[in-house]
Amino acid sequence: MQKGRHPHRNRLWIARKRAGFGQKTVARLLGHRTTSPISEYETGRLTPNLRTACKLAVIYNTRVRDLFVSLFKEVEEEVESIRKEVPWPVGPSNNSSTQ
Amino acid sequence: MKKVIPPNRIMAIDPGMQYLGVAILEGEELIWYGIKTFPGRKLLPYMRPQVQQYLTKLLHVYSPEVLVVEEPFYAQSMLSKNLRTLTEDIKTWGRWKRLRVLSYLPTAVKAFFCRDRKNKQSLAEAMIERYPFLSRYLTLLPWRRRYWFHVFDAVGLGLMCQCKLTR
Repeated sequence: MQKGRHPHRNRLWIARKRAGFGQKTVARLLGHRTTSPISEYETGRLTPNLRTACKLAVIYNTRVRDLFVSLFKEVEEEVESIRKEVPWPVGPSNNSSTQ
Repeated sequence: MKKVIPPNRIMAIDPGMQYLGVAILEGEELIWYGIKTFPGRKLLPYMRPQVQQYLTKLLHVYSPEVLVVEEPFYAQSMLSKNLRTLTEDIKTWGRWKRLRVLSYLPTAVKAFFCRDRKNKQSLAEAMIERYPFLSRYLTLLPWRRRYWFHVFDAVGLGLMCQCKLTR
C-alpha cells in the first residue's frame, strides 16, 4: 500500500455504487475488519496494492484500468515519453522475431 | 500516436435552499453524484459560504471544466428570492473559478428526456434507463423519493448539457 500526497482520482466509488455494494460488504470481501481502508482507497488517500486492486476489479466486475483511469493515463504518458527519448525504435513490431 | 481529446467534465447542480443535488459527468459517464444538506437557518449569509466551500471542495477533487446550473422556474422556486440569489451566486462562483457556466430551465431538461409526461418521476425513470444502478433511489417512500429527485435532476441536467456540447 502506498500513501501519496498527490492522490490519484479513481473510479472506485462509482464502481461500488454501480455494483450496489456498501463499504462494509467490500471490506468483508477484501478481508478487512473495518471500512476505513475502503474509504481511503476511494478518496485516494491510499493506493491499494496490486493484489487488492485486482480483488476490487473482480468484486466490481470491471477492469483495473477502468478503476484507476487517471493513474493509468499518467503511467501511459510516462512510458510514452520514455519511448520517445529512447534512440532506437521501441514497438511491438520489433519483437516479431522472438517467439 | 493519435492525440485523444478528453471529454468535457461537467459539474451539474440542482440548487435548493435545503438540499443541493450535484452530479459530475465525464462524457456521458456518471462519475460522482450526491446531495448536500444544509441544516439550520436558511439565510444567505449562512448558506453562501457553506455552498461555496462545498463546491470548491468538489472542484479540487474532480476539476470539472463546465458548470451547469438549473434555473428556478416553477412558482414555488421563483417566489423564493433567496433561491434565485443562491443560483446567481453559484454561477458567479463558477465564473470566478474560470469554469464555463451554463444554465438551463428544468422544463428544458424534462422536455429533452421525457416523451409524454414531463415530470420529475419520468425524468427519474429516463435516468434509470441510462444508469440502472440509480434505480435503488426511486423508492416508494415519498420523502426519500423527493430527496433523491435532486440527484436525478442534477444527472439529467448534466447529461443534457453533455449532449448539447457534443452536438
